Amino acid sequence: MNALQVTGLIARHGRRAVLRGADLHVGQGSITALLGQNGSGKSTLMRSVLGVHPRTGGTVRVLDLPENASGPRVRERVTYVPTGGAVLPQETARTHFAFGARIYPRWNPQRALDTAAELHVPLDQRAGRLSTGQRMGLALAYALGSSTELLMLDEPTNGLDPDHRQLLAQFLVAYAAEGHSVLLSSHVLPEVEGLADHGAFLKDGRVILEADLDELRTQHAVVQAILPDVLPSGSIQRLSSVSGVRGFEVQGRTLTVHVQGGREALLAALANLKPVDIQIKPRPLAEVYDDLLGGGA
Amino acid sequence: MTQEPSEERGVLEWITPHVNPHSGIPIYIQIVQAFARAIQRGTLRPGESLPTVRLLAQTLRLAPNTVTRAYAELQRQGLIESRAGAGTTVLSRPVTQFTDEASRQALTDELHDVLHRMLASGLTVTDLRRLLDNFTASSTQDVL
Repeated sequence: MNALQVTGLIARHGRRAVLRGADLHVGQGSITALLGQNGSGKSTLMRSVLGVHPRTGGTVRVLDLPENASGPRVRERVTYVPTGGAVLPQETARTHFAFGARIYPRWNPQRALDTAAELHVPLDQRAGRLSTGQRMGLALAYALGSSTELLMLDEPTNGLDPDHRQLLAQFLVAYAAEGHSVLLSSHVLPEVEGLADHGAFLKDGRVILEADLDELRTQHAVVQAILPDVLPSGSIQRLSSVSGVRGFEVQGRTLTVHVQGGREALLAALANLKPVDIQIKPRPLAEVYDDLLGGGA
Repeated sequence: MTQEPSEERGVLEWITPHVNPHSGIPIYIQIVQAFARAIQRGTLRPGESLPTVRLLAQTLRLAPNTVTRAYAELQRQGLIESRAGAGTTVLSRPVTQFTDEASRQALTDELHDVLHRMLASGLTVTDLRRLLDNFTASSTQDVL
């Protein structure tokens, strides 16, 4: 059973199509990252899953519920934390938790209190008077207290200082270690690297790639060759048609090639250039991310 | 957070610098290699415990699935065993045999990489053979 299965999701903001047939799945016990630039539709996707944002097409299947189920039976098994955290300004952390105990069948009061304590959230102060970071802390404590099988967090690290980001990562890991599933969005890959085992790359309203992130690391490599002489660009251009080659750059006698999948064809082609030395290195996932979604985020 | 026995705390402190989520090397492989090396060198001895998946994942802030995968691979290689109640421990008996074989395999893989690079950089098989002959000749002299 998947925690979440989204197929061909279409959603609009007014006349603009924000999601144009997005596919995504979150496996049970997985921490999945929904990656994309700002404005790529990450928030809309999460909101559409819950039905908070209307869907124009596609199907959503949450846990073992029927396709496109909605209402309380979804909300008591899935928690969603929007960017910045949504809290009731007139209520305190304590009254939030009392409310959570009423709606969530598996509410875990201890986890809510522990999370609040670690994130320095005062329990008896109205949420409207909390700092930005404390408000996010309260939203997280509430979400983790819910003990729902699926937790969706929209850019949860926004507004958290580095120490609290590390704590958040530890909370999410502990949560997933109990078999819960997590979907979190980010536009900064390094922030979720390691934390997420699976990734969905969202661009222009579609998931252009969904992959096991370690699998992706295995696939991509950098091959660097030192050539005997500076070569005419024509003989190097030929490399772009070699199977697996995703791009290359030349700096003097150094040729750097990005390769995906098997490296044999590339190594054979490079041998023809009579290189002085060749090195194969892992390619950081951040570079793969930039290639897929456009850099500069 | 949770209090762990000192033996495990040592392992956790020792493994932390061996795992870099940004390096581009699959993370589960980094964990496998770190433990395999530790077991081969005797840093971790037969019968000693590995941290639980949850504790290691939390310490390194890694998805639990990634750690589970690493432990499964170590188990497949015959280096560790997981038993309900007893946790995960370094295997006692077959370990020496396995490590010899595993380390020989790792060295062979390394040599293959180097040979690949040498061939790619224009050396011929004859060149390689001459290198190997020179090498054996000089190392025999050293021994004598």
